[in-house]
Amino acid sequence: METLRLGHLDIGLIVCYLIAVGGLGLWFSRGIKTGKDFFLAGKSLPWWAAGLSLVVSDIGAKDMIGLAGDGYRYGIVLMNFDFLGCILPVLVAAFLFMPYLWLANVYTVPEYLGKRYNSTVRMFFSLLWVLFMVGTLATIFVSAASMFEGILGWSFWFSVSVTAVLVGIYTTVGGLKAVVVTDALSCVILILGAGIICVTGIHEVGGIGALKEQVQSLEWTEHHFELLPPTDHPVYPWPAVLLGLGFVLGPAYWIGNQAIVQRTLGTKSAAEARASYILCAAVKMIFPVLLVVPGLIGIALLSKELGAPGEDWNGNQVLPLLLVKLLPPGVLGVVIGAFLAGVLSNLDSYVNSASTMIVHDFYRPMIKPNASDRECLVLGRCLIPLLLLAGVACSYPVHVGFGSVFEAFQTFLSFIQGPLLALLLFGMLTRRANASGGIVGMIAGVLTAALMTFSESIFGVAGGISFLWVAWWSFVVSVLGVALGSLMRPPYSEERLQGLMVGTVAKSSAASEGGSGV
Amino acid sequence: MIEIAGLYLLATMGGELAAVSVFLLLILLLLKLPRSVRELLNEDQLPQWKRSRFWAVMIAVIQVFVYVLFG
Repeated sequence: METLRLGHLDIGLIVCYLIAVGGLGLWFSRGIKTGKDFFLAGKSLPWWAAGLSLVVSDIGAKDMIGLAGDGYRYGIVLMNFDFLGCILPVLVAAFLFMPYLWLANVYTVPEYLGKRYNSTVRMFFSLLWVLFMVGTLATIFVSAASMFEGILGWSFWFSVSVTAVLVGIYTTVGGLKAVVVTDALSCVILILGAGIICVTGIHEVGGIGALKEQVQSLEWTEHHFELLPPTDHPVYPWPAVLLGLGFVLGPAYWIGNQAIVQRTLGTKSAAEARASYILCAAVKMIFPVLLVVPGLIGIALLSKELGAPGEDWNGNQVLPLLLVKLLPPGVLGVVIGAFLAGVLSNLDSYVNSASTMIVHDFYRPMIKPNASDRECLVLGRCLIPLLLLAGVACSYPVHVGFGSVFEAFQTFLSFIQGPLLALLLFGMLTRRANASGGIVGMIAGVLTAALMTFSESIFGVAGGISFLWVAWWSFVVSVLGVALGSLMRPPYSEERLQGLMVGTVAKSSAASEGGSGV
Repeated sequence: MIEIAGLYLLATMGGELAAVSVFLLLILLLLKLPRSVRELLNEDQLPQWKRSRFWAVMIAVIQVFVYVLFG
């Protein structure tokens, strides 16, 4: 594959970016003395930094690579991952869920589930989340390797190792505050870099009209400009998009994903937590365009080279090939900086959150209940290199086992999102849900997700079942499980539920936490 | 609430209409938040542009236009 040689200007820009990230990370690590400083930034994060960090904790290298590949394969339907899968649930979560999570004064989402249901539910979801996060780290490493291999000619393992070391250094030292502040910088660089790819790409194709014309002239791009494809679409029929993505995957991700929620739990007040979500929704309106349009540009410029996507087609090569074809010297530095920003911000978020969950959902409750804050801080730091190593170890199976990193990420996610959302919805919105309902719903939902995900090998379902349907049906089964299971035991007392669900927070809390607005 | 209404819409409408309706329902929800939640937000005394609900409604309105134009 043709690769690029970086010019002095490119290298200078990349070095400047890395120095800025490293400097910021180290600067903000100075005040870390306790576990609360490390895991929740001492509850001192401003809303704008948390909001920008939310954006890049979700959008990263895996999305740049993955959405360009899937945009090439499926078209603008992928924009729904931000429109329906992010903006809709974020706006709901900001008002109905986030205030209660913030006021519950927890470190992790499973800790909330433990308070609302019981410790079994907490342990089970913590374990699933940590496994999911290691899988996610692997997908991010694969994204980085695909990009570095494509544009610089680096080998898979060299790319993965360089990325792991880079993130390991400042995340281990700096904790959540360093992660969030560097994320805010990364968000700006990411928008700049992705914008450059879109503008140069559209210019090269001959404008938006020409792009549409060229894409639609091919036989296999019939639905590429339909935001909601018809019901016979093989992967993204609109009912699955709306139900699976808009009602299950999106809400569960934005309400229950520790890597996301941890940022808002670290803000100064519930009002700032809410404002960070609103800012995230506003910024996310431009990302679908920035990330999916390169896939369409890829069709116009590379379809002769890459052909129609088939069974063994590798979507991860679209963006690297596009960069090699499009970018002049100097601009490449900004784009690689943006890509690095995506890699670093995603990795640091997930690794920091996984470490938080291991310390607060396993070590403290199960191994050493009287562990000092200092011990938790040291353990949290030690876990970061170990988690990165686990992600590196899983990266090769992910690399060879999935068509694109985005598909890998969504497949991992669909295992837990349905049951998690069912438990959070019941837990926050109804008084009737109890521990037995939580356990029944959790087991039923995860089993359904597992059976559907492996339906091809277990039941011989040709082509398997779309992860969107897996998410939806595991959610439905889990809802039934929570409802029926909760009927087996009496509901909890009002006192037990205080501050854990809608309508139960004391007015004194409301008065002290609200009021600062966006 | 949104989910149940969405299911009803799905059974009766096409993709574009369903997506637009879901965002319209979201706007309705934001405008008519339950009393306990409004008390918790505690921002009724703030000027309109400083209220998080105002910005949330603006974003949802833009989404309605996106699905009307490209759905």
